[in-house]
Amino acid sequence: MDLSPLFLSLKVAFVATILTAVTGLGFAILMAKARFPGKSLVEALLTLPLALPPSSVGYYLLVIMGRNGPLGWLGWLFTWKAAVLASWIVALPLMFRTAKAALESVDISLEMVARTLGKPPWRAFVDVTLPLASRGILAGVILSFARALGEFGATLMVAGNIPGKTRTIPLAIYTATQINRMDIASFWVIVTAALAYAFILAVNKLQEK
Amino acid sequence: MKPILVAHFSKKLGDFSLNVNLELGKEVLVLFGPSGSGKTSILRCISGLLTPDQGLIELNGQVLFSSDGKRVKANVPVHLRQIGFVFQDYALFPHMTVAQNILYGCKDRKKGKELLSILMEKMRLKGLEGHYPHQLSGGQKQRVAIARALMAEPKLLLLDEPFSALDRPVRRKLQSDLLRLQEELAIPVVLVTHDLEDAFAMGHKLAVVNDGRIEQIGEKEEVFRHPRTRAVARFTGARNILEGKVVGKDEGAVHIEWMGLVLEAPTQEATVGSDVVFCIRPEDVMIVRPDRPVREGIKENLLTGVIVREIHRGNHYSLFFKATSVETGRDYDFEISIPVHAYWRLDLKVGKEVMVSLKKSALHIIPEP
Repeated sequence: MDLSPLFLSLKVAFVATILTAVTGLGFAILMAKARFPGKSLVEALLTLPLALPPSSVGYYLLVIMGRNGPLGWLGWLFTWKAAVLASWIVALPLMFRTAKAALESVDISLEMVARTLGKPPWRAFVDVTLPLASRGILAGVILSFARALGEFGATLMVAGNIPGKTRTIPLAIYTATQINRMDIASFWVIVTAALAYAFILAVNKLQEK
Repeated sequence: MKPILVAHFSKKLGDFSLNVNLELGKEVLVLFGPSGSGKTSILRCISGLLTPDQGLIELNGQVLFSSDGKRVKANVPVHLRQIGFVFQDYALFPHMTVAQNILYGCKDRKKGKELLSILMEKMRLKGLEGHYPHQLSGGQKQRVAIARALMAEPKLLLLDEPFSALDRPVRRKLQSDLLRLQEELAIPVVLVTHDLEDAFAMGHKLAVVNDGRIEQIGEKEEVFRHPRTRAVARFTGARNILEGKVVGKDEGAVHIEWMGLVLEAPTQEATVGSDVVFCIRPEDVMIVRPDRPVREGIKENLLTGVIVREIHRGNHYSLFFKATSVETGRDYDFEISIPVHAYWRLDLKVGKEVMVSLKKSALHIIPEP
């Protein structure tokens, strides 16, 4: 049996999660700390992929990465890199929102105290708020990984369904049912369910205090 | 003596505005006032956590904040002000041990270790170095918070309601420790409280804050004895605030007509013929012993009446005394505070008729009622 969808899925999800974690946390810090005009609009934009059908996210990516698109020169369309971008965009709101909530749950007076003790604001943030929010941030990372692992719609549109190249587990399940190979489909379903269940358990563990 | 802290500033906070004028040397200033009067905001402005709209804040001659309302000329960031701030809820770092918390603001690691053991000793925290904040009692948390602030060697220490969450014995001990520490460090301390007893116990100077404004600031005794406004008299527990008319004034006394009686008050600013508001603290209303001839000195301002209600407050009684004027038939309620032993010796009870003396030296005319 061809196990390439598992390794491909893990590779795509892993790279996408790193990307999501860094950018999502960055936006979370910006939104939790900075004040600027149009902030609520930016915030809504960052959450948008959560509410959009993944196929429309795929559509936008297709336009951007298409031959005439601004990122067309990269030549990423229908490669695993396009799958990474799709997973990144789709998982970003989860990471952003979870991390922001975690940062905002830390008592603001702790940072204030750190500043009165002679630490500049960034140092107070790194020493106090960040470690206290770390469990919530890690929960966001795991959620993002789970989401990336299950990404289907946008991936199908920008990366295609090329066996051994871009066929991740969700695409393998879809393909197997199309050709009536329920044994293969159910194998992958069990694999994804087990993975997802483990992630949810881990997230719950992190979020309980 | 040149003041160490100079703070003259104003700030609008919603529909509330803060107006502060204070100067302080190496002493403890208590900001006293009801909840919501702006005490905490005053501390935040001084520390830099809040930015005033305009004014001047100076510490040891260094300008920390200066603005004419249009342009900010100076605004030193919080972390460079060297002002220790102990928050009401302690704000200990929950992910750090007691030792890590205290050492957080330390500038010199080597010196810090030494200072740590001194502070642990002085703040009675020995043995708790490795504990986390959630393992400490309220009093211990407060001590850690204070030690942490002192480790950074502040030039000024601000304490927001430091005793509000502590029970009485813990509170007393911490108060005396703090006063001792302040003497040793010789830095100015500004302490916020809404508790009259804390204010009595802690302050050298007292500022009464009401509606964002400092109503009166001065030596503690002076503010308690001679409130400038009706609000100050009320907040500091003067209890008996009366209205009368100045009918005469001579070398030794001001005469105030009140309920058909003429009371003697010490010489003070007053215009003959004017209506005045005056006050007397409940502990300055003396019950005259019926079995003894009235002694010289306490036969001032005698009134007779009946005790109508009593509240036992532990070490003293609050008695409510109804005085009735023979001439006008009107009556007036006084509050009297009397130590428990005197209460028993005088065999007082509700319904008993007694004679009281309003101590002349304690009758104070409120200048700006």
